[in-house]
Amino acid sequence: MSRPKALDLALGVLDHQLVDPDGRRCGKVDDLDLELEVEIGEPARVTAVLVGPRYWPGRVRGPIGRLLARLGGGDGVKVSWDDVERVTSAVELARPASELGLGRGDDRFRPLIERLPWA
Amino acid sequence: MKAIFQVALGILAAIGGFVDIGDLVFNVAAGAEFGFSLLWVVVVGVVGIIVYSEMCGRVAAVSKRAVFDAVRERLGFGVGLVALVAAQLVTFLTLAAEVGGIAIVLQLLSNLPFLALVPLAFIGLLAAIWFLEFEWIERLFGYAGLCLIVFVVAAIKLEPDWGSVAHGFVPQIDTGDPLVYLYFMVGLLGAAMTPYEVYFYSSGAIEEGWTPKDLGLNRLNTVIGYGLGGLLSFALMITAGALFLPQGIQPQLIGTVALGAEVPLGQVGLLLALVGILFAVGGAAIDTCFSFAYNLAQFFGWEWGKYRGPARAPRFTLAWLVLLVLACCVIATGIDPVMLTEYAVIFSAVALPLTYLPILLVANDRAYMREYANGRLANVFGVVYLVVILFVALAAIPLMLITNMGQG
Amino acid sequence: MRFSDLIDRQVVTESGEYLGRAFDLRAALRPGRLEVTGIVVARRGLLERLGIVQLRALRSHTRVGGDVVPWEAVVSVRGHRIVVRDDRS
Repeated sequence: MSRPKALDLALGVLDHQLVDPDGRRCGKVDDLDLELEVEIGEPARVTAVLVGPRYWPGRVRGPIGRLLARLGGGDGVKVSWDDVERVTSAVELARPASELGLGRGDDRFRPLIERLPWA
Repeated sequence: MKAIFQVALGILAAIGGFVDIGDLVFNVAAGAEFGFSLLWVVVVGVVGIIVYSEMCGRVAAVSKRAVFDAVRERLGFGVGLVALVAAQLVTFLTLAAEVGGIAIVLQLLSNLPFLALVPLAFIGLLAAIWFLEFEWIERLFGYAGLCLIVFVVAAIKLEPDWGSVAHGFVPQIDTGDPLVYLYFMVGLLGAAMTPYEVYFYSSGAIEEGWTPKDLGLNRLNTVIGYGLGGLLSFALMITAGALFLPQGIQPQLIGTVALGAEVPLGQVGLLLALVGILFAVGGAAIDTCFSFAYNLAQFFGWEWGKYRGPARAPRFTLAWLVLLVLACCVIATGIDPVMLTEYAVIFSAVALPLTYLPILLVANDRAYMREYANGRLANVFGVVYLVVILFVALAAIPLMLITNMGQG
Repeated sequence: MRFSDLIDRQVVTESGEYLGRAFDLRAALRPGRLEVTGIVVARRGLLERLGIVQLRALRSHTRVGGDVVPWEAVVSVRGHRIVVRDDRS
């Protein structure tokens, strides 16, 4: 079995781009969920990628973080690590963004753009 | 053979696109104030933008990251957001200044009232962005911007003292008015190394799908494109130094800038100058507009790209549309575009380190860059310019205040 | 627990020795799982305190300039600090 790749989370995963199998950009890794209270012999793991303004207060403490979250709409999506295909320069997902509830920001504005006369 | 042709065309477009409203205002003002003695600063600025863009292009080609991807990954969400806000404010100021410049040139060409020309400028830019393919935008504005070569001809025709001109390339400082001299130094460096240029260049590299195979092209584009573009800056300063300094004219209007070509070359010179300015600044406005949208999308992870089409990248599209509208509104209030330009350039200089440093860090990171990370030479230049940029950033606002925006 | 909760906390040993701040988590990427293998601990210089310079990465997506405390040596992550065993290897 090949040796597992060592990587540091803040350096190699956090704040990286999420990309779905169609190549669609669907957010950044805003935070990570960790499972640390484990049985003896079980390794501590990353269980989910957290995406969205709801998770910004965790990164920017205090009133500014809360204001930012509200400006961004307050949404958030928890993407299970099972849905991560691979980690390269981006975090590549195994399922399309729409299935995972990602990219909703763009979905919300698409009708507005499509209504422009010459789009 | 075809490849060489393509590269040459790209470089031509880059030359025409190098000069924007900040370069116009500051190079001419510097020439009018200090003659040729600030020419060496333009050289420093041109080398600086070459170093910065080459790194951004290389980072984009190898690690597939644009500037604000790197900013967020390297500075994190909190500090990165500060960098984003600063960059966006400066980009907005710059766009407003450019739209103002376009409206003024249209007024000089058509004699229509200024307020009628702001919507015209808006429609013109919008039409170009919406209906033209990106390559055609670059070509149209880049080639037409080459009309600015009239200033090279004008500079020669004005028969300046070439000995003095040559002396201007020697690093010096005017001891008669050192603070104002330093202010212009800061302004010239800020105008040469305008941040939006690298945001746009870096995002363009990713849109073009650059890989390590394109690193040679990256070097060619930046060195020759910006290098030759620097010639236009020299020409602006030399004509101003030869024409305005002896007369004691301080060009406060863009029309005065065009005088630099009209006096030696007549109506033809004036027309070429105005057309050149119109398209150089117009192209810059489009680049600036997109830079705003690129930065926002790259920081927050939205879909982005001119090639994706508006429907696939709705927030990205809305971002540049809204910014363009806002910039036009600002100009429609009647604010002086030349003054706006000076503020834009000075604040750009202040914001520069925030996006330069993450790129320098990523360019050195072997996990991202593999064997293409900065070598020793690149790092010598990279670090020297980090120091230059930090000095400029710290000195910019104090100098602006002390010298009352160069008035002394 | 969130990653952002864990980062930046002080790391001390059971006997109270201050080791530094938790800069990052070292992890091992295995098929289907991302396991936390250690904490990257370092003292903060001025630039790190400003958040401007993070410890440089080198070849393998991991940082240099910090010590890695193996996860097995962690005693407790509840409370404000991370406590690790005195004998960490």
